[in-house]
Amino acid sequence: MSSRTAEIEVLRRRLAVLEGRLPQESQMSLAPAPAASIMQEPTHTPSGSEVEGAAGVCVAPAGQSRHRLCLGVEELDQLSAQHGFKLGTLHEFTSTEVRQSGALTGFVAALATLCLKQRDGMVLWVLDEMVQREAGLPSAQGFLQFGLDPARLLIVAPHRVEEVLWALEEGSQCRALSVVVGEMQGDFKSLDLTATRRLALRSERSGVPVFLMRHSGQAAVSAAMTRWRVTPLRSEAVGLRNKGAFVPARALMAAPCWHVELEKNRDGRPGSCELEWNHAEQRFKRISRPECGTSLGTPAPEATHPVSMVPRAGHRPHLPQGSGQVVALRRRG
Amino acid sequence: MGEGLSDACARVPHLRTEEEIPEADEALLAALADWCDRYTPLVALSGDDGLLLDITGCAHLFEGEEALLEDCVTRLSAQGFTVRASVADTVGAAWACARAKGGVIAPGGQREVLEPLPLSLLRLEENCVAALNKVGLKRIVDVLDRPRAPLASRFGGELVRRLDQALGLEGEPISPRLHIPALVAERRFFEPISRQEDMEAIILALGDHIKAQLEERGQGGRAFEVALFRVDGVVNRLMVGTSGPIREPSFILRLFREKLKSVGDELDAGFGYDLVRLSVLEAQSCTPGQLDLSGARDEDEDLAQLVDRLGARLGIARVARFLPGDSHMPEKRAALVPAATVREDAIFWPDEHLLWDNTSLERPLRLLARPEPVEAVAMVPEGPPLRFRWRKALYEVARSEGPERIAPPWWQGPQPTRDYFRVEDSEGRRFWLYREGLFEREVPNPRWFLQGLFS
Amino acid sequence: MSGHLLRQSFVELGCATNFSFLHGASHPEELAFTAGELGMPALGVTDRNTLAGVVRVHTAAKEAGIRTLVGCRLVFLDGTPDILVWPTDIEAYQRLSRLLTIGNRRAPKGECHLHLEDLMGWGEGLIMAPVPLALPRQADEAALCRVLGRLTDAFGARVRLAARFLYYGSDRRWLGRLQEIGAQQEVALLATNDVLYHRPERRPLQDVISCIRLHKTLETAGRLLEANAERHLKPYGPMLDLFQDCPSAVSESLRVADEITFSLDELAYTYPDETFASGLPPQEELSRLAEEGMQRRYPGGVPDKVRATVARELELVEALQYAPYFLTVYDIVRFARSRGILCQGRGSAANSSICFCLGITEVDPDRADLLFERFISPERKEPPDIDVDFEHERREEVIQYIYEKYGREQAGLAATVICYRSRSALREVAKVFGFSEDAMNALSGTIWGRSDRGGTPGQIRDAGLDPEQVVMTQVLKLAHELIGFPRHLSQHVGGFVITRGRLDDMVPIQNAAMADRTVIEWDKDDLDALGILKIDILALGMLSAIRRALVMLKEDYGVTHSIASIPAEESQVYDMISRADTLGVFQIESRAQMSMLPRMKPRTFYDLVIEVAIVRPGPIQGDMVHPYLRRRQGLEQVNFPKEELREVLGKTLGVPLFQEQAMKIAIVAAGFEPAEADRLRRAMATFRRVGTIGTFQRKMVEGMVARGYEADFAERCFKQIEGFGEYGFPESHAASFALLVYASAWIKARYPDVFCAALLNSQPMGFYAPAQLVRDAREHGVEVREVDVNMSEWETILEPGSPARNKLHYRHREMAETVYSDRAVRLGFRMIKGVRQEDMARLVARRGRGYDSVRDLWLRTGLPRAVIARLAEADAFRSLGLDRRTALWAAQGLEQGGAAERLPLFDRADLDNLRPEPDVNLPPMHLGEHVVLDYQSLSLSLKAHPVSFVRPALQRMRVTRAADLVNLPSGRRVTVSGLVLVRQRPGSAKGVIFMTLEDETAVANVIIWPKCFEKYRPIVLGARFVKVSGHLQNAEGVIHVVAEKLEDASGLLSHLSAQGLEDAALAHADEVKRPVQELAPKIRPKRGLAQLIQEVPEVAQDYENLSRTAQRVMPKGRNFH
Repeated sequence: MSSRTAEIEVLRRRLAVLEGRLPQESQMSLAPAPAASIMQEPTHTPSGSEVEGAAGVCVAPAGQSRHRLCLGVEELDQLSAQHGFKLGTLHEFTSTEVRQSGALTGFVAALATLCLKQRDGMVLWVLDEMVQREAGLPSAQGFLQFGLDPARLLIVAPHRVEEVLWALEEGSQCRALSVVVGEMQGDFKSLDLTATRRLALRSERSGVPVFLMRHSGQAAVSAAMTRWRVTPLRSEAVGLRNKGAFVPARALMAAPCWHVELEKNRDGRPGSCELEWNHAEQRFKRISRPECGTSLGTPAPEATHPVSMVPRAGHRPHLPQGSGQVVALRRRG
Repeated sequence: MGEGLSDACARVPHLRTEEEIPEADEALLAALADWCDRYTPLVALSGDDGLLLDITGCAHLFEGEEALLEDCVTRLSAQGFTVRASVADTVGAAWACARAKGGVIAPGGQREVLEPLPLSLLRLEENCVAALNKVGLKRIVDVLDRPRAPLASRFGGELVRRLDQALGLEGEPISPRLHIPALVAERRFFEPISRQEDMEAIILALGDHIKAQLEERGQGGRAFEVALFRVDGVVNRLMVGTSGPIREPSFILRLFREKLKSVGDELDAGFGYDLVRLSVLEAQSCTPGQLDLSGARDEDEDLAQLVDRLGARLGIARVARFLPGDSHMPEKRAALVPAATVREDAIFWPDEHLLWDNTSLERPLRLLARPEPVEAVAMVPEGPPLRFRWRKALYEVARSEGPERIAPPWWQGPQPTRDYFRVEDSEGRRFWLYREGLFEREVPNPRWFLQGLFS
Repeated sequence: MSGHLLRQSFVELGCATNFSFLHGASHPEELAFTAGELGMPALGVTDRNTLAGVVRVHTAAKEAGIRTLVGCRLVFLDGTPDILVWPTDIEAYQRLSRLLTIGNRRAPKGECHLHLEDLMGWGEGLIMAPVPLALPRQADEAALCRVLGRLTDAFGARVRLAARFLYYGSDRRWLGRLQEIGAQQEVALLATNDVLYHRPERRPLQDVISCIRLHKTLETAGRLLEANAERHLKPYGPMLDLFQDCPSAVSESLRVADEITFSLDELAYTYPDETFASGLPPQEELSRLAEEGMQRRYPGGVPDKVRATVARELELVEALQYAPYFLTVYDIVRFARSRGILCQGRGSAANSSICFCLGITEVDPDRADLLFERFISPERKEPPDIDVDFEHERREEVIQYIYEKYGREQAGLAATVICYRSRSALREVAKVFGFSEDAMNALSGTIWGRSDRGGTPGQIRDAGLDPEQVVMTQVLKLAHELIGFPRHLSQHVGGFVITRGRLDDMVPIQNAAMADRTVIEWDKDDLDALGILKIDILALGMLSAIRRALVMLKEDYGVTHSIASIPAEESQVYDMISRADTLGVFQIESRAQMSMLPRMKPRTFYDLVIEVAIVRPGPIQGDMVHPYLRRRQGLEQVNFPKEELREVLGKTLGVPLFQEQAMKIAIVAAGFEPAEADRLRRAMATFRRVGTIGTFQRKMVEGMVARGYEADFAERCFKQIEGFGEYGFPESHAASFALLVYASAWIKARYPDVFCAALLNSQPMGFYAPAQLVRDAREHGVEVREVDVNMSEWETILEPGSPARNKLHYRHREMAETVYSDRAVRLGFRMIKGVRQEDMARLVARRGRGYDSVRDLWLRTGLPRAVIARLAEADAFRSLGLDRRTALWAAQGLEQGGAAERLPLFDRADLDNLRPEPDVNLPPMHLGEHVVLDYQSLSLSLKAHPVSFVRPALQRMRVTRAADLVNLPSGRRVTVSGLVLVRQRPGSAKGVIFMTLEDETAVANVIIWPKCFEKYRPIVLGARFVKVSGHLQNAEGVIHVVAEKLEDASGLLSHLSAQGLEDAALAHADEVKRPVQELAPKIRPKRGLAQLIQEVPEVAQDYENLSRTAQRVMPKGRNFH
């Protein structure tokens, strides 16, 4: 069948792009960046799987994503070749430590929230037992306040990590989904180039973006379009009227904020930014706070003893041990 | 009788009471009606405590009315029911006799049998019977030969109509409960069968029978039913529908085979079936060309299929969705339930995030599976934590907010009150901790737990 | 308290009592006392749109030594946030009261509909503080600012902003925002804990009542319940900790408290101005009327003693300026008299000589020779109290007169607070815990009558539940806490408050459940506490009966009497009373009274006063009855505990029987101050729940012992006061009642026919059903004739007959000289169930020379067939020669509907000529069946007694006839059998059940001890016709059978008729309850009749709902005390 050959041709081209053999920019027509935080690519008129785009443009089969995602923060949005980030593909998000999983989850949840505004369907959220034990489950109430309707969450909690991958693959080809989120902890052997490539391929075919969260994950070989590193940031101090001396423990918390570093970007160039999330308006705000927190780019202060990361919950004694300066550290590559 | 329950309870303190469940009674009676299907398809409900069977032309299958009646009473009694039954020419006479003494009333014998019975057995309204009784008319014989006009003018036409119906002077149709099938084929066994192969063979055989008749009518079946009558009274019914008319026995069997497979476990043959009936519930005229078993399968993925597929491999419970829970306790605020059991539109999360202040979030994004104990330094009695140690690491609290005081449901047993704090450490990590127990009001030394992580 | 110290404290201003129904979880008293303990100088009470609880807080706060800041939480319909308001002065208070009245009057009963506009209109002088939501949204914040803006524009500095710290998590953040808003709007923040209960331990109960309010269970209520237990009273320290970001909000509470000068004590009550024809000022008018009355009362010359008393009383009235009050009562009584409505006053002031002279009471102080001048006592500042009883059928006329004369602005009914009782509390709590209907029934079935205690563990185990189970303990504990909580306000049966100014300036007025009634928000205790006068306009069935009897006496016998002129102190009347031949006589017809009479053998009017008072909780709980009886019978010497009590106890043989005596003992023997003694009495009723009783008890007992009394006597005196607290019964009441006792007894003795007819026409009332009244009349020689379409009228009437003295039952043979009757009683149509007065009036009006056939009657009256069938079923066609069955057949043969609906032409042709009915041979009807049907239709039969039909069978079973018991020696084992007439379980009799049986000869009294009851419970409670075996007890003419074995003998009667007697209500349940209703509230028995099975709240309107259920539950027989 002619349609079949055409499809194969398209796939072949995509693989080439994925593997960096074909520069993607050359295949895309540039579009002016709209002012809106979320922008759509100009609509391609041709549709149907048989139609091949003209001028060497890689045209996705019908129904695939024609969307890009703008974060609404110029510094980040302009890092990509086109304004905003490509949706129908695999993105990776990592944090240095599991105890920062709150921040990591926050950033991904914020992105998912933006996706949901743009795409119909549910969020498939896959996490394995290890993550559950170490970082807990998503909290429906928390997500709700954060801006992501828990009614649109489909939580899949497989027993084993292999099953996480399988579930992500299954999800990434289901067009009824809005976005697929996967969580893993640490580095994981079977999540190699092949596996990520399969994910990316399926995602591109279906147009469903896949966000892969890797708690305390290191830079590993991956076919992901981007890799982001998220670090928590001290929130802005909210002062109370009529307050005398500033007592840190009595200072109120403010909106969540992070330092976000785009470590890898096949679609453009890397960069970094400090962001705050406004959950009421569901949008990011760029902040710059030189005075506080760990600054991106410079690694966290290293301890004298390379201690294994935060001990895993399963091996922890029931009650915390007595005092003693134990500082959780980055695991060394 | 007729007294209030509380009165009865006062009189008999140990009185055991059961709530009346009319639906259950109804369902039971309907089930019995279905079972009686074995005698005749014309089974009607009679009031809320009786069944009416039109056995015209059926009695010979059971070697006579007496035998049929006995068979019916014996079988029902064996199932634990108290049965009173009667066979008569008219519905009215059978109704009255079943409640009076039972038995088969010889054709034309209803008058004689009815005479001594009380008027209440004429299926009259209670106040009509009461009015009759007040003037001394108590038995059917008291009114049987009276002039009809004065009776009718005093007690209404119903009395006369019921009399005539009971005597057979006026006809009375019954309205069967079940849809009467277009075609029926059945087979009885002296030795009950229970093996699947046997059943399949019988369906095939019955199908042959049906096929001939459908051909004769130039029809094909769109819906079929196999009714399996178990020895102990249970009737299992399997129904299949087709997308087009069919009449080929092997097709019919194939449909039922899949059905049998899918319900295989639920179908309990028990001591076996002694009657199998194949009915064509819906027939349709057709041309031979239409007789095809086909139907295009939609290849499109949809969410339900994804859920099924994930559930099939990972286990249904591992594919879940959040249902809102109504409790102050954070861990009960949402429940994860198998997605397969949730209807899409059944979930509604009210948008509680639009509070007056948009700078802080009150609930963490992640909840630990179980609150983890931490060591914390805090001001008594109810100050926020100043620093705490979690998983061997020490955290300096830079900002905090709270307490949010949540007292667990007291009716579920004594549990200490929790004071929740949202804290941010010097590195910007945000946590959700609580102090368990109010200082000195509930416990001397409250313990601390970390339950969630903020973004 | 120094200014500085004062600044170091906090006043809780926003506090809901449990008069915020199903919101507040503490009694007003608990809150007031706790506030005192926490060192608050004052307490603000703000119930939801009501002032119903403020008086109780006020009273308790006085005890606790703190100020009450009256306020209210205004809850609006229009989305306005709740606003707490406190009037600063009396004018502002009046505006608040008016505001609430407006809200009440436009809403259905129990609701108050307010809009912000109302407050804008009436808010002058109110301090007001909007309460922001605890978890606000942005829109709420905007709305709050809008409201604040409007309020400050109008009321300026009076406006505050309420700030709460309820541990909702973001409190500090929100508080900060409120501070900003406050600064913006120039409004000070006011700290409040928005209190719902006095101590955190009340949280469970608060959750429970919230669930009751929301119709949820604890499991399903979810976040509708409060998240924590913080909404209790908090003292200065903790409040300051909470508001450390904003300490000024805490001190603001003191500034607000300072700003409020209003106290409920300022509500000086003003009597309505009466205008008099004479144009004299009130006091002079009163003197004039008293003088006039004196001349009328004593035509033979006023005794000096009376004149002196009146003069002294007038002086006192003048000093206290009570003249308008007396004149108001006088005016009401005069109105009633002018309408021919019989009435009689009673109450503390009613037995004064002035009242006798004014005609308010009929008790001649001279004749009664009362022990106490129960009048106003200036030192106690207790307001005079006059209750007036009116004929129960015509009281409404009086009430409407009052409304008409004073208008709704000046007259309103007092409220009655309906509280949770053990049964309702247990039921509601069990429901909240998610118990099934069955378990709930089983649980509440463990409670008998209306006790204030929950079921005992044993009873609960009996109900098949485990009392040890945790849930069960919780249920019981919470139910116990809930008991005594107000549930809703209902109308007092007749307590009117009449004011000179607007009533709603004093207290908010609500709509009542009955149309055209309005009720104020305070009950009689509240009014008492504030010294506000009320006049009780009560209904008394016996007055209706006596009025009817007096009319009959005049019309049928030509004898003219009034209550006062009935010949006094006739020994034949006392003879009859002493034989306990008092069926139907006011007050002394109950089983307990009847068994007392032969021992008491009353001979004088004062004996009747004692008789009326003695069978009451006070004397019984004080164990004073038997000592008195023994002394009366000369079995024990009369002595006085101490000589100082001779004056107090002289007339009652040294035994305290009246409430006044008990109080006097507290003063004389225990050294109480008079005011203190009064507080003691009131404490019994109001402060029971806060446990101050113990102190009083100690003080009284110790005081008496210290003065040389025996501890046992002291304890008994205290118990008696406790009994009076539950059921106050002063001598003055007893005297007024005794007068009616004598009047009704005199009529019964002299004219049993008149007595019978008058009682039948006043039904439902009294203790006994028509069947017993008729039977009693027949035994007194009166011929009673059946209802007949050609003879009867709506009411029962007298017809020419023969002298009764010749036909007396031998039991009453000694009354041959007493009885004057020579008429026969013709039962009226009102005896027939289900016929209407207007139908029967038409029947009588068109009767002419009589109806000659059923059809004739139908054609001439135009009554519907159904009505004629009713008459036939009542066997009312005998004068036509038709028995019940034939008449009924004829009636059934009529066309449906009435003849009037048909064309006349058609009638003649169609019915009479064209369709001659074939002859019918209906089966004949046995006498037994007739009797049963008589009972069904008339609730009595003149033909025979049902038991007579089974006598042969009973004889075979060696059953003794009730009439023969009197001839048997005490101690003999006997078996009696009869219809159950009455079952009683007097609260004072330790679980004993009294059962009265009736056979064709007489009634038999049965005593069932608890053990026997438990054994035969289903029979005792369920059977209509029983056989009882046991030992005969015959003491002083009082005959009882002490049951050992009971059998349900209903089967014996079943052959009489297919319907059986089961359906024949021998007595309508209403009659059972009637005495309770008409005697309320002053002498309302706490354990009313028929409450054994069904809890019955105490007021009339609730009776109506419940009587339906009660009827269903106990349709037959008379029931329990």
